[in-house]
Amino acid sequence: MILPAATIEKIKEILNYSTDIRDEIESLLLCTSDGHEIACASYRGLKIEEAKVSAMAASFAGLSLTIADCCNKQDALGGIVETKDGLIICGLIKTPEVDLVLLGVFAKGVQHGLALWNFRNQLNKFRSLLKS
Amino acid sequence: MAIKVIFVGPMGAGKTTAIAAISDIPPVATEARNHDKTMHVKATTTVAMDYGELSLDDGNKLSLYGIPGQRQFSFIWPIVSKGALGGILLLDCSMSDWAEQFKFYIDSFRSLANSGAMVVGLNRVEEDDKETVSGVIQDCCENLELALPYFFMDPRDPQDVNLLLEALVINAELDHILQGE
Amino acid sequence: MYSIKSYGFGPQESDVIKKQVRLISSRTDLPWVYEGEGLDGNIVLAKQHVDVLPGAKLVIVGTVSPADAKACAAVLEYPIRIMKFLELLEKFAPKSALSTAQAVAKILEDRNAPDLVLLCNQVLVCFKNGNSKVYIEKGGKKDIIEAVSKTSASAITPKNKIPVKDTFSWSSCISSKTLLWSLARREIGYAKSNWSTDKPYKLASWPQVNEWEPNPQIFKLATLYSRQSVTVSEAAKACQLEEDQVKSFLHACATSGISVKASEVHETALKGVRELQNKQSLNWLRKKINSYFGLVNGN
Ligand SMILES: Nc1nc2c(ncn2[C@@H]2O[C@H](COP(=O)(O)OP(=O)(O)OP(=O)(O)O)[C@@H](O)[C@H]2O)c(=O)[nH]1
Ligand SMILES: [Mg+2]
Repeated sequence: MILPAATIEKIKEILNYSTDIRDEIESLLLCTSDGHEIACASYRGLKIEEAKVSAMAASFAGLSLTIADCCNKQDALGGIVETKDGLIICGLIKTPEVDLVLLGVFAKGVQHGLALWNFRNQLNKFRSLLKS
Repeated sequence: MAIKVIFVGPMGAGKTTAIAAISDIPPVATEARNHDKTMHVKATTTVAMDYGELSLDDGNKLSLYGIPGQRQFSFIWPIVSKGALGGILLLDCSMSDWAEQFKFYIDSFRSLANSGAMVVGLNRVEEDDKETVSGVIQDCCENLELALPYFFMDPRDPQDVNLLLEALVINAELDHILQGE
Repeated sequence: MYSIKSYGFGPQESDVIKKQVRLISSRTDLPWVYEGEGLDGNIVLAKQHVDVLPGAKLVIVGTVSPADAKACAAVLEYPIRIMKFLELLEKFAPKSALSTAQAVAKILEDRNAPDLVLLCNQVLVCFKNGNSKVYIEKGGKKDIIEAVSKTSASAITPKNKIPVKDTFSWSSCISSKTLLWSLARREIGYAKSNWSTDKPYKLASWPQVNEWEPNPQIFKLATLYSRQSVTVSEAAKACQLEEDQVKSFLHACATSGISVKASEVHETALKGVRELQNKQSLNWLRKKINSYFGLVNGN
């Protein structure tokens, strides 16, 4: 077990709550930086292939770090995929115990600024949860 | 012209290590913290790819790509291996399941293996076990009807990694001699 | 021992044949000996006498009519020339007989068999099956190959076992695979008569030539035969080797436990050895990686 069961429960709660109350968020997925799924929640029965997307999110986050580094930018925070149907944002959460990746899938038409602001809020929630 | 070679094989086989051992440029890696210590005790694991280069005097270069060995990343294998002239399959023979891994990776990269453009590097084999390991590989190869060149090696040793490259070079030369155009 | 007898030669002529056989036998895989006049040898050299013993064993020495030539196995000019005689003996080597390398392979086959010490060319050699190594009483690795290769196949048998105390100390050892490979590679004559030039063959698994005989041409040959079925003549062309060398390579593979499959299908499309497009780059690469074998073909 990567994280204690109680922590995972809390993570699930946050994911479910966020996808429930926030119309602009379609899915939220949390996985380790090496691609193991931890938890996932989707809005109104939408489905993503969690195990596969976890691995891809980890690859994407890993590549974002490497690309940043190769372009002389330090401390990458994550990456963004732009689609006609909305944004997909990947962010890194580093703690002394685990490195995690949060993936957020946003609905069509949601403004970039709003999506990013929203996503950062989610990241911060998990950061403070994992700190305690 | 760039010649592309890919390093494949399971987690901890030494792909990242081998590329770092011979690359002329500081290798580009996508290492993330390894959270599954039951799979392997090492601290980090590749999550997207490794990249290294050998630059040749005529301006051409050999690009070295490494795949992430963990199977959840198999979606990226075809992306990383596209257009490769040859493949180097690395195996850590101190793992109890190395023979199954061998078959699995041959299967996953069958088109390279079929064209003969695949060589196998076996590492962490004790001198006294070489005979046994050879026997196992021989049996596997006969079953797969593929006589793949295999070498005992250490991915940390540039000379050993170079021998694997050389085997691919000889194969490429034979391709040209035999098929013509 | 394989015997040669003569029929219808005078004492001086017999003496010449005896000397010739002694000279030749050091270069053949089988231990041939000349046993004087008679009709019961493995080969009988008959001077003109076609009628004495028609058939497989008879070699006519001298000139014969075409009709008579058919009644015997071969015709040799008189006086007998050494090279012709050697070729004849290679041709006559019974196909089923084991070569020295094959005899060694046979005693090393069973990994649970007890250690076997034999006298090979006047030194003690120990075949240890448990760890697949072969030891010699005195001398180095090369001496092991030398001593065993000078021993006839028939002498390499558990029946000739020499008892040696456990405390006996051995001077050096080589792996049994290296020994088998090196022995078989020397048996060119045997290989020549046992492998066909035009039949396609393929290896079922990789021979570890980089450990047994690090040589660029042999490495190339191993790569070629591991990939596809090719005939000896095509392989020789592709790797720029003599056909006999290719045959001895196949013999060595088979002796070292690599199964060599004769195939009916012919996979090769050998359209002449042609220049490589990116040869330059590959050569640069060779230089770069500090080629294990040096630059092949002198480039
Ligand atoms: N002692 C010893 N260590 C070895 C040997 N071969 C490889 N290693 C070590 O094993 C580890 C291999 O790790 P990596 O190179 O990251 O393996 P990888 O194939 O890239 O693995 P993934 O990226 O996770 O798929 C390194 O720490 C090497 O130093 C060996 O022969 N002996
Ligand atoms: Mg790696």
